[in-house]
Amino acid sequence: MLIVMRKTADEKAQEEIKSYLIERGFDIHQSTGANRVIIGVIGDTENIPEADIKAFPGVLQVVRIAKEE
Amino acid sequence: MTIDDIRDRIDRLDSELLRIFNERASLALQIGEIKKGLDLPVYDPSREKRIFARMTAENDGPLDDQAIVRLFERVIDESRRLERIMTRGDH
Repeated sequence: MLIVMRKTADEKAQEEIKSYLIERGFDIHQSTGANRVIIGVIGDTENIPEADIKAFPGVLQVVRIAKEE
Repeated sequence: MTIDDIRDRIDRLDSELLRIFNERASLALQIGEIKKGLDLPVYDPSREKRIFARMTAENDGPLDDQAIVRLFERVIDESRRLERIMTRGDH
């Protein structure tokens, strides 16, 4: 799963979403670009409700990675 | 200096980086053990922020500060993963 943060997302917003994921046992790979922060979520993310992630402040987009058959 | 000379130097530096990464990871595991004993959270955003601030302040280039942050984000991501394994015993 990839979480794209809004340009306007501040550090507090990033910390909130990262805490949520880490406390649930997921590893994350953060990549900070000039305009965007992208958080890659590693682990079995199927059971993370997309709506819960989108509800966090500063989240622009949630991208699920397609499962290979 | 030839391209092979430079590549040899890069190879030696990569080996040194590997050693340093693993030394740092060993220390992160020790932190994880202490956090487990004290029931402290793995994620410590203020500590991560201090590392980024210190590393960019000390950065003399040619890597720019954003590149330094990106590199340390990966190092910290992996340290955090090790700490999580240590504190929770899962993968």
